[in-house]
Amino acid sequence: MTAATAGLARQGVARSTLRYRWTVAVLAVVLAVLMLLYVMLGPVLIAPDLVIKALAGQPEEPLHRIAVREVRLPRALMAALAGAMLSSSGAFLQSVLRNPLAAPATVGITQGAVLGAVGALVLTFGSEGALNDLNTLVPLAAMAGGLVAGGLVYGLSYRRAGADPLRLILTGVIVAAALSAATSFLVLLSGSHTDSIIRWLVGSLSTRTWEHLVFLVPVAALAVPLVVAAIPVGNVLQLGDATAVNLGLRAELARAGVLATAVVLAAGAVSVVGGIAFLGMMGPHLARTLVGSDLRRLVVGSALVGAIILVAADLLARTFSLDWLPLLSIETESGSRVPVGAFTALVGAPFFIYLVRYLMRAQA
Amino acid sequence: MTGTEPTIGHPSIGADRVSAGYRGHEVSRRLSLSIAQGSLTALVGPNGSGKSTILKTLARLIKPLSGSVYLDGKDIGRLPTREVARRMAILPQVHEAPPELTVLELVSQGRFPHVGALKMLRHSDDEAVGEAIRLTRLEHLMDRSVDTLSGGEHQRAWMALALAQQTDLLLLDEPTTFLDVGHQLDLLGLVSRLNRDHGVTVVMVLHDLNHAARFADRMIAILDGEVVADGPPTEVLTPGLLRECFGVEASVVKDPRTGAPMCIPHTTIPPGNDDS
Repeated sequence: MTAATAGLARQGVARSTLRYRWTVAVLAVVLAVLMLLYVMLGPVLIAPDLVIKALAGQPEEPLHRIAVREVRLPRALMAALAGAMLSSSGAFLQSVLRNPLAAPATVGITQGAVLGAVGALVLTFGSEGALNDLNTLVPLAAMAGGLVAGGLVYGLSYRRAGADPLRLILTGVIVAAALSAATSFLVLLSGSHTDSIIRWLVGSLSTRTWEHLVFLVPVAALAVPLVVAAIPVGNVLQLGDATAVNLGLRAELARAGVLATAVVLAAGAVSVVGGIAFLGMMGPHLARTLVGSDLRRLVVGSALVGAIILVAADLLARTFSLDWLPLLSIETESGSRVPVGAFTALVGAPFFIYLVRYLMRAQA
Repeated sequence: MTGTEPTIGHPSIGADRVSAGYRGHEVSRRLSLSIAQGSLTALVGPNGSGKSTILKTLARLIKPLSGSVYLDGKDIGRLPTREVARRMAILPQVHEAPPELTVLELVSQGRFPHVGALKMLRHSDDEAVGEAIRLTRLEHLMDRSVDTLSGGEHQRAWMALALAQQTDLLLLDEPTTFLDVGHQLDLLGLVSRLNRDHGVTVVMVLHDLNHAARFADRMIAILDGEVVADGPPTEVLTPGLLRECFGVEASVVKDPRTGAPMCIPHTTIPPGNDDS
């Protein structure tokens, strides 16, 4: 009897595990293909076999080594890592705040990090020789800004016994608006250099090199144990506070822990790629339709989908900036490249509308 | 602590002079009650009487304003919450589940207090989960999303989550609300079997007095946060109680099949007329 009963659940687990593994495998292949395309395409087209040669350190032409190893590869890796971090942050936020619109950019984390970055940029403009330090100073300031914004939203939402999820969202939206206003104010004050600031506002990967990746990797590494602990805790917490307490969780402490994990992930990502729009909301929603809502799968799925979206969007952003595509070529007035954030926003906005309509229909 | 905890029979859970409610809104004052091991108790009372608040306080979902709740003689507020979760499960009135969460994934979370957070990453405890699914007859719905289930299936899925906790004590907060009569009987039949065959102690808040009288071996009537009647259904479900507690004129007859008392409400008594 018990053997048959255990078999019942085991079969159920086995069925869904098989489907999940296939989904992850397909997503991983898609990501790998996109990364390869990313490294191949550019002002100079490099064939796959030559890419591998260049990666191995035996380029056919010296230019290939620089294009592949110094420019394209770090940028592709950064897009994948930042996309994964933003999207998995959104997965945690949506689960724990029990709200489909929760995302790093709707609760103020992104805006806090952007304010930090822009603040550091504006403060160091004009000071001689500051540009060398910018690559570490700006991400650090952005990271700090994101963490402070997250703490601020939580602190402002806290009343008596805890921070209610709905209050967290509402406070987050307001804090996000206030921080954006502060950033606009800074931009106006600075007067010049708006081009590099705008790339921070909308999010961009241009001119990102190993230096930025070296900053991002430790943040991601620090986040790994947090993510591992936040997954089972978030799984319980997404069933509501009453059920969480029933299952032996100290709900408020758990919520604070999972939110902190989401803040570290998002602040880390924004600190090197800027305020990429919609990715943190879009990624987890797409992943949910593929792998479901169990965070053990949703976080992995969201990370993969987020990486795919950002690599693909930046691939598009770069392609649209190429000279050999004169019809599609878009160039800003100052001659700089189209920032990737513009593409995620262009795709993200319609998706957002679709989501709202879909949710309304589901409720009706 | 000695001398203060209730000691009637084998107390499973009890309240000792508990004031329950929310800050600025005391629902019950210095309430004491004790639930014997192996019993099936129904808390009844009109809307706003405080029965759900009392149940939530017993379940530690709300902290008592004063007094203590005891689980097997120990102050529940001082026990590690995960240890409590291994001994007591509660089915809350309102459920929240994310979209696209399957029944199996939901029920599996019931193992959290036994397995612990980190081991939940891999462990699935198939036996307990399978048993909970079998008891609630969810075998064919395991892979379905919880948000696509009908009302009755939905309640069974959440019941299965509580059952997967494999506790000796089960608290149910209006488990039959929103269910049609067939599903109500289904669920209460399951609760009754758990109590009779598995020795699970049950405390449930019920609105349907006839169901309470039929399935419970003890009924506690609550009015304005106070116990106004407490005992076997035959003693509690009387025309007098229905008048005092619910403000209805009713006859009470005997269910010809089960012998349980059954009430047939006739009219409401206009407020003010029932003062005696």
